[in-house]
Amino acid sequence: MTDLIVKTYIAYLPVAILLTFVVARIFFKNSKIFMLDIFSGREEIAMSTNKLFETGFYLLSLGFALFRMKINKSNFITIDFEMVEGVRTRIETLVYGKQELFEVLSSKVGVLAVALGFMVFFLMYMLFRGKKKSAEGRDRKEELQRIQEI
Amino acid sequence: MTVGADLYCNGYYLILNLFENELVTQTINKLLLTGYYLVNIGYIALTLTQIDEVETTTVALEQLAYNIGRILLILSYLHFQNIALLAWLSKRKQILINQFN
Repeated sequence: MTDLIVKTYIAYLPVAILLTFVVARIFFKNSKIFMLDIFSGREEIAMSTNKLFETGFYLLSLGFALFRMKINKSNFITIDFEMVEGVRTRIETLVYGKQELFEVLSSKVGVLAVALGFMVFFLMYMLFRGKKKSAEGRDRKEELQRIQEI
Repeated sequence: MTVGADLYCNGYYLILNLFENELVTQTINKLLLTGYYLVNIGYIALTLTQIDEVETTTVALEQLAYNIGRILLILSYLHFQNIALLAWLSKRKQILINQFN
């Protein structure tokens, strides 16, 4: 029987990867429209920027998910004192069951989901800011043209 | 154990499709790619020596995930840095064009 911790890892990895992929797919499918707006209709540059951000997003989130996969086993250590040959000695044993590991797993998935949420909202903020900036730039250009015409 | 060596190569090929921006010329693109390869190879070389004895599957998985995660984080940092640089450069170009007009 493989270790329960290994089973937890095996359960965690697909969940993390699937979560990342689903979030990225949804987000970057919808961000294309914003990108087209920001780059005022130049399709090539908008698509390539979108792709670059998508790659960065995958790198960041998968890296984060893998980076904090390791389960901290110091939570599972129980300390006993026993008399061995008349000397009181400290004995540390690892005790963990399905319940503990399930709790750890859910906390890990939860932190990952919260981090992904923050990332998505940050990217949305960036998109809206870029949209505003590009609209301002367009207005200024139009104004300049009008002045030149006069 | 050689498991590490095999699986580190995965990180190495991620980068191939990174740069496809028209703004950058072919040369700079190639330079950036070379830089990425160098970062990867250097990282692999550094971490391969760090891994000490892998006794159980648990330790192997932990080490692998930790190291791959770290290189992915480093790469993503570099990637976003690059995007910021590109944005800055194009903005500066726009400003220069506007000045000359």
